[in-house]
Formats: sequence, C-alpha cells, structure tokens
Amino acid sequence: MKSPERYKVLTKYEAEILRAAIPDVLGENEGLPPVDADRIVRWIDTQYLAKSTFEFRLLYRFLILALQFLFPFLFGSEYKIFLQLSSEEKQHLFNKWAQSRLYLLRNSFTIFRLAICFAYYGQDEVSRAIGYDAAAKLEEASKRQVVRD
Amino acid sequence: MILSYQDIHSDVKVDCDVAVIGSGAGGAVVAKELAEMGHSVAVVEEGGYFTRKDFRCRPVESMLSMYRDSGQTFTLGRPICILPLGKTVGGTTTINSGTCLRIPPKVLKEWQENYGLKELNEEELGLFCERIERFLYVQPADPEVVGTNNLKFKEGADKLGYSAGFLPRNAKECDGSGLCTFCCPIDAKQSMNISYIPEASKLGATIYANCLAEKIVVENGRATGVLGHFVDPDSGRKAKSIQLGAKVVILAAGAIYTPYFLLKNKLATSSGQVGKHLRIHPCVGVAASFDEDVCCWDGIPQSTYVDEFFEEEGIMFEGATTPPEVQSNTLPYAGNKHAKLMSQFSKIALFGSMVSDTSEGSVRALPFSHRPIVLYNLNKNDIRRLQLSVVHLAEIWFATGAKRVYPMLATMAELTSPKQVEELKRFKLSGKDFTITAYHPMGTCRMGSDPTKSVVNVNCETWDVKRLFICDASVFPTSLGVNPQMTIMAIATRTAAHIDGVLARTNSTKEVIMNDDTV
Ligand SMILES: Cc1cc2nc3c(=O)[nH]c(=O)nc-3n(C[C@H](O)[C@H](O)[C@H](O)COP(=O)(O)OP(=O)(O)OC[C@H]3O[C@@H](n4cnc5c(N)ncnc54)[C@H](O)[C@@H]3O)c2cc1C
Ligand code: SF4
Repeated sequence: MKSPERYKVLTKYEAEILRAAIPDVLGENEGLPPVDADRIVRWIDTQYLAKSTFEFRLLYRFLILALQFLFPFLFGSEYKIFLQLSSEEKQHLFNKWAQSRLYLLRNSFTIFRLAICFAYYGQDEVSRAIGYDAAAKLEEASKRQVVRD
Repeated sequence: MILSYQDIHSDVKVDCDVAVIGSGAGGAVVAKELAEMGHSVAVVEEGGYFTRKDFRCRPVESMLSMYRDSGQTFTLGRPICILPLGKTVGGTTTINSGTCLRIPPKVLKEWQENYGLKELNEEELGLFCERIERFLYVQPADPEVVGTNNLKFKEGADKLGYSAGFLPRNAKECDGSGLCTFCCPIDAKQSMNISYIPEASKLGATIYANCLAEKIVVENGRATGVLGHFVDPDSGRKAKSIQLGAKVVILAAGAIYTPYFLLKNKLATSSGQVGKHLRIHPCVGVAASFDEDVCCWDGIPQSTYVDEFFEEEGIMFEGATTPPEVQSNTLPYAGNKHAKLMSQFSKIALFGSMVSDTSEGSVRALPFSHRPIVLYNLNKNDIRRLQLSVVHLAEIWFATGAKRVYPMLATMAELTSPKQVEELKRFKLSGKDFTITAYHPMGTCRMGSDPTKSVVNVNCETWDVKRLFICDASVFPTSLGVNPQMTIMAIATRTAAHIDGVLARTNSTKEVIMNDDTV
C-alpha cells in the first residue's frame, strides 16, 4: 500500500527512519507473516502517537532521530547514519540497544519497540499465526454475558 | 444515572449530600454505600464509560481508551518503571486482574501500633470484607479455567515444597478468556463499572463520566463543593462546566492523582506529607520456554500464587500474562532472535513477583505541568528482594520443566540450565539492571493519628479541611504486600459508615436550627 503524503504526528523524515527500522526490530522467522512496515508506521502515527500525550510524542520522535544520528555511533557501528546501515547492522544495533547496561537506553528501547509490537502482533493474521485468535475470542465473548443476581 | 460527555448539553449545577471525585475502588464503594444509606450522591469521573460492546478483545484499543495517557504513565528514577492507571468509569478496577486479598494481619498490626490507627481493627474490617466479598462474588479461581501457565507454575512450586494456591477473585462464571486487564469481555469480572457503580446509580446516585474535577470549594475551613468541566473524549478539550454543592466531598482520584489534586490546589498540605511516601509494589516478571504448548493466553491470567517468601521477605508471586502484542515486549532481543522466540509464543510462559517495598517515592506537581511527576528509586533492600524474586521464579520454572528462562535482566538475557540460577544468586545487581513494572501506587496521603505526620485521620477526613475525605489507595500508611483493592474497598466501606454519622449529625443540627427558626 502506498504511504500517505502527510502524517499526523511524524514528519516525513521521521516516518522514513521508522519505516526502515521496523523490519529489523521485528525480524523474521518461519511462521510469522511478512512485516508491512508502511502499515505499521501509519498505525503508530495515526492510532498510537496521535492519541498519546504531548510528552510521549516528543520522546518517541526524539528516539527516532537519536536512532538515525546517535545510536549507530553509540552502539559501535562504522561512521554511518542509521539509514545507511545494512539489515544485519541494524539488527546488531537493536540488540545492543535492547541489552544496554545503561538503563535509560534500555528502557527507551522498550518504549520504541512497544509501539511496533502493538502494531504488528496486534494484527489478527499475525497473532493467529502464533496461535492467539482474537477474532474468535471476540466472537465467543459476544455470545455470553454474565448477569449479576 | 450514568451521564457522559455526549449527554451534557448545558452547564451542570447540582446540590447533593456527597460529591465524590473518582469512581475506582475507593470512590465507587463509598458512593454506593452512601446512596444505600439514603444520601444524594454525585460522582465525577474523568474517564469515559465503556461497556462490553465497546470491547474488541484487542489490548491496545483498551489501553488507548481506558488507561490514563494510553498506558504510558511511568515513574522517573532508577530504573524507570511503567505504572499503568485506569481512567474510566470503575477506575483501575476496570482494567485490573480481579485478585481480592485481604489486608495481611501483620500489616494491620503495624498500622495500629506505628501509626496510631487502633480503631482500624481486624474484626470490623473483616466484616466489611465479608460484605464486599459477597457483593463481588469473591471466590478462589476455578482450577478448570486457570490455564496451563498458572497450573505449570504452581506445579513447579509444589515440587519444591513451596506454599502455593489459587487466588481469590471477584469474578462470577469466569471462563478464563484471559483479558482481565483490558476489561472483561463477558462482564464476569466484578470491577466497579459492573458492580458498585451500576448499583449506586440504581440507588439514585448520578455518575458524570468524562468529567474532570478541578477544584474543591472550601468555605470556613469546610469542603462545600466541587468545580470542574466535562471533557470531549476525542479532542481532550474542555466543554460544559459542572458545579456541585455538597455537604461532604470525597476525593478518590487514586494514589497519584489525589495528591496531585491537593498539591495543585494547595489543599490539606500543612503536614508536608501530601505526595510523599509513595509505594508501588515493584514487580518483575520471568518468562520461560517449554517443549510443549502452554498457550499462556488461555485461562485466567492471575489465578495462582506462591506465598512461600511472603512472611519473611514480603515477596508474593502471582500470575501475569497478556496477549502477544503486549507480552512480546517482555522477551529479550530484537530482530530475528526476537522473531524466533515470538514464533514459538505458544510455548512461552510468564509469571510475576511483587515486593512489599520499603523504597519511597513521591508525587510532585510542577507549576506549569498538567500532569504529576512521579519519582521513585529502588533502595538496596528492595533490589535484594527483587533479585531473590528472579532467582526463585527461575528456579520454579526449571523445576516444572522449562528449557530456557528469560529473567529480563540487563546482565543476563536467558538462562539455559538450573546451574545458572546459582550464578544469578551471586550476581551483584543494582536497580538499573531490572526491568520493573508496578500496578499498586499507594501511601501518598497517609492516614495517621498525628496531624503533623499524616494527611488524614483514621476516618479518612483530612486534618486541614473539614468534610473533605480521601478514599483511595493514597491513605495507606505503608506498603500492603498484597493486591490492594480489597483493603481500599474495606476502608471505603468503613469511611462511608462514618460519613453517614456525620451527615446524620448535620441534618439533626439543621433540624434543630429550623425548629428554632420556626419557634
Ligand atoms: C493492570 C493492573 C492490574 C491490577 N490488578 C489488581 C488485582 O488483581 N487486585 C487488586 O487488588 N488490585 C489490582 N490492581 C490495583 C487496583 O486496581 C488499584 O489499586 C485500585 O483500583 C486503586 O483504587 P483507587 O480508588 O485508589 O484508584 P483508581 O481505581 O485508580 O480510581 C481513581 C479514579 O479517579 C479518576 N480521577 C482522577 N483524577 C480525577 C479528577 N480530577 N476528576 C475526576 N476523576 C478523576 C481516575 O480517572 C480513576 O478512574 C491492578 C492495577 C493494574 C494497573
Ligand atoms: S479471565 Fe476472562 S472471563 Fe475471566 S474475568 Fe478475566 S477477562 Fe473475564
């Protein structure tokens, strides 16, 4: 699907960095449906960040820019910005970020990844592929209502 | 009557006996009890009113609508800690796990002896608890629907000879759909939005949802009303105003927003204790992978416990699972390594531990900020007990056949054998090494007998402002050690009985005056 021209919260540049990050944050494995990074960026922008607090939006956007300019150096790759890294280098960076001994950095990875995981694993076809069928649960739940005596 | 933003077309001006701010465990109970005693009650709740029809079995949707700040509330300190809060009719109970444990006798004894709260006695609180338990259908989780995740952990604990059991919960005919913390899809969980609030409404109370209380009116040292605004849930913009005149005002906005409200309004602050002594029950989780399917999403997420280390260490192990989009974030690594774990998600289990903390944080209100700043650092004692928690959680998982264990520590992403648990014991961990979450803020407007060291008295009335009561988790003088909703509700029931007496005295004084006038 084509990405929208305008975003609600992110700038085009931030969206581009995020789009480039998503496949390597999530990775791939047999049994998991392909990652649609465009869709995830759109969801994070319109559903998640748009409904978040001003401070949270600011933090998330800061993390995206830090990922582009700061983290590649901090986590020891060559002198490249994030968008110039190969998929392997990006995954190496994310793993170092995720396991950083500096708690602020480690915690910030959790925040960064959470939105991406919400968007990806929150899709029916993805969660169904790993065994969790939300649609079936909803269907089941809609048939029952407990009533107080 | 439950009225939301879309039902309000003009400014609201109402007189009532009791105005309650917040509809969570404290606010809902006090509202229903007082309505039952024949008083006119109005409840203002900042969050919206949702029913099961609004529920799509997708956690994120619930978080965006029913959690404060879309679930992005956290404490600042070492480490940063996610501290989710409910913002909806029913407060945090609407999105909680339903566990109902009574106050441990040794905690109550400490409150009586060290905080001068002799009048809070076990027998009386026991009677209130019984009343609440009956009303909320509290019963031990049914082993048939607790699910493999909880059963497996209990099995491991049993093998090691640890004390374990099934948790009492406020659920009726629960079928183990596993979504309690995102609002029960079949109304089995008796959170306040299903139980106390509808009952209060039936008894004549009015509940104003999407309504933010901003000021408590004080005249001659007495609380006499509440001022606020309805808020458009989509834009967050303020709309029509509300003005409640009341004989008694009850602040029940929770242990973060109650002190924030008082600090912002410079109310009841003379002791200097408002916002101090924040306890949160810091939690750690340990995941484990098995050869066989666990399907951790099936069954009641929080249904078994291990209390082997409770008496001596104040550590309580309780189940805690969520659907994949949330739980994916508890697993280590990124990229293909994370994807590999997630593709095996049906074989992954999770259990949590909470510590009865001695660390103290605080809630601050900065002049130009629209939300509280919450500060919290772990002290050495709590760090030690969190480490002990991780060690025992890992030990129990291995005992029940786990192949790998994921302790969520910066220093160790996974353990592949019980031998490594021994190594973990010897590690010198600091607060920064843990990934912690917390769900039980309390203690920020503590109760006590000394007005210089506490914010409210044993009846939850503020020392500074007469007829202003606080009815939520903020009144606890210390950490509780167990899940707090039962204790909040029991104290709220007690407070309601006291307020009934206060109102009866007010009315009879009025009658005397009126009689005098007539004479
Ligand atoms: C995920 C999760 C699971 C949990 N599981 C359990 C469990 O199993 N058992 C248990 O005992 N406890 C559990 N808890 C904790 C428990 O739910 C809370 O301790 C309890 O609900 C707190 O009650 P309260 O009355 O202090 O505040 P809350 O229930 O948080 O209610 C406060 C209400 O006040 C409203 N409010 C705040 N400010 C204003 C204002 N200015 N104007 C109007 N309204 C306002 C808020 O929107 C909120 O609805 C859990 C918590 C979480 C987050
Ligand atoms: S397990 Fe499911 S049915 Fe039972 S209380 Fe929780 S959400 Fe409701």
